Amino acid sequence: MRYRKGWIVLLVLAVLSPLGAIAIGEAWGEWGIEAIEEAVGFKPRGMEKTVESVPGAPIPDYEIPGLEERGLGGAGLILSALLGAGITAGAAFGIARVVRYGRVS
Amino acid sequence: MHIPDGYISPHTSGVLYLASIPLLCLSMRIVRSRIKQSHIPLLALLAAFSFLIMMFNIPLPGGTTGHAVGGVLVAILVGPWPALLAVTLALAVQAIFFGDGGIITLGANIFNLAFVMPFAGYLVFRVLAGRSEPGERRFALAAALGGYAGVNLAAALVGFELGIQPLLHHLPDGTPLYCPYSLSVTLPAMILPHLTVGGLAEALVTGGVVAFLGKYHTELFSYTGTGHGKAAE
Repeated sequence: MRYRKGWIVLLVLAVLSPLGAIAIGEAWGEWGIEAIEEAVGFKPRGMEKTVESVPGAPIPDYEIPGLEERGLGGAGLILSALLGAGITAGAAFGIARVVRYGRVS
Repeated sequence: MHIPDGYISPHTSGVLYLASIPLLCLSMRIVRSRIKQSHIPLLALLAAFSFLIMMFNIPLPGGTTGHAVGGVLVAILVGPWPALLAVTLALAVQAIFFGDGGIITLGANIFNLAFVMPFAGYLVFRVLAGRSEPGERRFALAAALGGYAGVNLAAALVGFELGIQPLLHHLPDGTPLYCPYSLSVTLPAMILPHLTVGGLAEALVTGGVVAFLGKYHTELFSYTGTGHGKAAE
């Protein structure tokens, strides 16, 4: 496999991904609407409507549903990391191949 | 730095989709006509790297968290146009599968993180690297500063997009409809943590990987190395 060492590094990063969830606090401006309400005293109306109009993600916050409750949140994060990195790499490879050669293989 | 749905209006989101889509089309054209065969699996690897590095949240001054993006690193290795495609795919997977960054705001997030950051950071790298070669200290330092500049510009842009919302969209009595914070709050909130810890993290990732690869895998720098230096031989 081409760039084998690089893929191994990515595998290690995926396994270490629970370390990335230790930091306390949230990214600025990425709070849920309830947290906004708590901070400023109201739910901005447009924000509320927009949030209601978009479907929720299947794996919100990289936590595989059901694993967190069983104390396996770390394993869930690793699975999410592998899944997300795999889909991203697959899509990039597929799109670049199709764009460049008109076919995937 | 991923803007969630609801923080910016559908109008702002639409404008930034309209800006991002032609850029993506151009990116695909360049991938079609110029990308080297060996750079296709490298592009896939780097897209996945960008996805993963964004999972590593670090505490920032002010009690918030942030993460490196890797966009400038990708641009140095495969060029800024393919980097736009790679980071876009990482952002799309984060938004669609994991709810990290909005769907309606995906265009904005692509514009900030997949376009402005890699292109600006790459430009800074190019200027500072001069004729230095992979493996040289100046080359890695230029990469680190490119990463620093790229992430800071993106952070400032996110702060700007959030902070203009109360000006653009509010009820007659002034109540904001989307992000409730004005520029005087959003700009320092985005810029200050990135000028310090956030920028340092991006600089370390970008400069560190470029220094390591420059020493042990010079052949990977065929994009930046063309025209001069060892990599072009």
